[in-house]
Amino acid sequence: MGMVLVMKVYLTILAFLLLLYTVRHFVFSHNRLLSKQKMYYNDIISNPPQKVTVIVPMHNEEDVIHFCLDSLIKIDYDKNYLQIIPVDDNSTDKTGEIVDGYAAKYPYIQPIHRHCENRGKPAGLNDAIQVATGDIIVVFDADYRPNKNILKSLTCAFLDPEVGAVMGRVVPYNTSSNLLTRLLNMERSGGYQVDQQARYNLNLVPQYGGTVGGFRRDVILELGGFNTAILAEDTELTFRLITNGYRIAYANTAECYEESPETWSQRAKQIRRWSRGHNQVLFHYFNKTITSPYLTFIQKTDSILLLLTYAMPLFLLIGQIFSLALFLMGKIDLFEGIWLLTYIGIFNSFGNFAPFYQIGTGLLLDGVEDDVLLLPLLLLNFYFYMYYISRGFFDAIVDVCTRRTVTWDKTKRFVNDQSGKGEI
Amino acid sequence: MDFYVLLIAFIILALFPFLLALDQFHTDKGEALGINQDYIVDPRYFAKSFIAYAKKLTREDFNERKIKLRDEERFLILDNTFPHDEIIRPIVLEIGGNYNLPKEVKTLKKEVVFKDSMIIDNDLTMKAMHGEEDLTFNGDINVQRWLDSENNLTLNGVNNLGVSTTCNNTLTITNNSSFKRLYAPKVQIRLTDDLPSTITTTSTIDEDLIEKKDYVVNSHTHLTKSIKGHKSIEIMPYTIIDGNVFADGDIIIHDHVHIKGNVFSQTLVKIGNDVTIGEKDTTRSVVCRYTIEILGNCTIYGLARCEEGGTIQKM
Repeated sequence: MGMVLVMKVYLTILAFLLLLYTVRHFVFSHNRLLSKQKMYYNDIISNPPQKVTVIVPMHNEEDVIHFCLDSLIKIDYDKNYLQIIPVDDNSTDKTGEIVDGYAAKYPYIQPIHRHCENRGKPAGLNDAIQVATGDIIVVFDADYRPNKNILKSLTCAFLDPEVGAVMGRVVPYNTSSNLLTRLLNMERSGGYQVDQQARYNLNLVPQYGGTVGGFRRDVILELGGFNTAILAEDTELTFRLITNGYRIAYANTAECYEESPETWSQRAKQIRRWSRGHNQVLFHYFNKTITSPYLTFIQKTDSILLLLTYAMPLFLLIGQIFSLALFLMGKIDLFEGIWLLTYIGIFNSFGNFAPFYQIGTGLLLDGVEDDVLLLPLLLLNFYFYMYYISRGFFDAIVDVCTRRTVTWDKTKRFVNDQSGKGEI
Repeated sequence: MDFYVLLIAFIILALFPFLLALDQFHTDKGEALGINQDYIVDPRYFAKSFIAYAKKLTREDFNERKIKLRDEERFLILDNTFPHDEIIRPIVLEIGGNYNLPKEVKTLKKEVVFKDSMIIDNDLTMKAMHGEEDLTFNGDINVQRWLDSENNLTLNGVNNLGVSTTCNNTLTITNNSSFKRLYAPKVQIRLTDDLPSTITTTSTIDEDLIEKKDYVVNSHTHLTKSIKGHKSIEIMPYTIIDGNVFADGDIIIHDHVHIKGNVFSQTLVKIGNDVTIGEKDTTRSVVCRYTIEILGNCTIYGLARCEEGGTIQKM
């Protein structure tokens, strides 16, 4: 009897949470389709430009690094105001030699080589920030291929004194490789075209994503640099900034190609790592977000929902087990009061952080409306993510309880040069 | 029997979306979204891209007087005089010599390029015009697309300045006009003969201001950094701001103000008399969502751009 009550209370709370997410998805989709959009800063032309340092963290990236560096060399930015720091982080392949070759030809490319035990993106960024000369730091992962205008497009946001970080849009270039990359492309579309842009439009909290984005050097130094104990340094920076009074800007037009994982095992590792890092941030910033004097009630609500994104699949998994148990015990009537609400909530939040409304809306806005037909296949991702994100959640709990040192797992590259996208 | 029919119907209906999805997956391989990797921002883009087409003319195309834009079009090369027609229909490329625009010409239907300086007294409706040297208009002009000069551009009539009016030196406007985008190293609006005042300040604010409510920058203030308002910002006379002015609401700039940085509003910007935005040898922007109203003499070193159209109006 007691267990039944516990399960019913749990499902009621879960229903409330899911309804909140559902409303959020509806509001975001509606905002993108039917509401006036907030203007981004990229119409501003301002010269002389701001001093910028581009940091490219890398570990064994010999297969892809030339794409990124070649693109950065061609970028439309006064080179007197530009510094590029490739961070060769304990590479055992030819990455170090390659970046040194670029540095010999281009004086504004100034690599640093790390040979130490604390390998990882946050530690690499911390070292690079110490030698950076730019007021603005922009980060690209090694497999990214920035376009010529992207630095101007990202850095103009920092003319606004309230902006602490800016995030651009990530676009996979290996979309057509297989079913997984196709589905990831859809998720990216919903995530950036709708979710991030709507949060920017509504003065909520766009998320700094760790690559194709930038932040103010003095602010991150003042706030103590990146926390090397947290795997999701991007999410951590987002919450550190917003709880200290800064805003995150989102630049939907600052688009950059990336390579999506092409195997389910790589995606599983990636999503588990993201979940672990994101949930570490959840544990660190839940209270700080609720008590922050700089955020409005609506911003706090959105931030908490953002923090819970990688906890929800586990909550949902437990909810589904409880629902099934109650159903088999004859303790649940699908059409009775709160249960009806529960199932409407679950139905509408199907996919949770990759919700159908937002992805469908994103595909429409991107002009690939035929791909809306692929939405049912996201069911695969839903259960796949539910499993690996739940494992990441438990990893994060162990991290917090044992204070163990986190180690970085490198994402495998597939070096796909489709459609000439690599010949930049 | 009914049970099996319902079961089969259920299975078909449940699988139907997946069948459609699989069909879509196999028939359409899915292209990566296109990103123009070579795109760069250039405020004189319209003129430059047209000139690039004109410079790519082959000898054969030149002889046949055809130019490949989006579609193939005919063009006219001037020899001695401009045609004395009220409406000039083809593209006009001037390749040398001094020309006067005949008084009869009222409408230029297509792009016109002048190689030499031109002073045009006609009231004109034009699609687009580029001058390799100075262009001066003394009549009223109605631009449908763009107007550009490689050197100075002076507009003395009552004008509708189309989508983009730009030049590479000084753009001078001396009468009521409407516009969407003005760009030049120096854009000077001279509606009256008043001389600029000297701005003296009595108080200094030496930090960035982030204001959540409507905010007024008082007269005779020197703000050495930037200001951001979540609502409107009003800048009173005799104020100097060294940084940028950003607001989610309106930005009202009163007379005798110098803002050395950029001005950006999610709504509108009103600019009073004797206002300077930017400084010599810098490029700064005034950008807003709705409209920029310029109500007096004003100098902008760079860009003025608004989505719904701006106005320059004598008080």
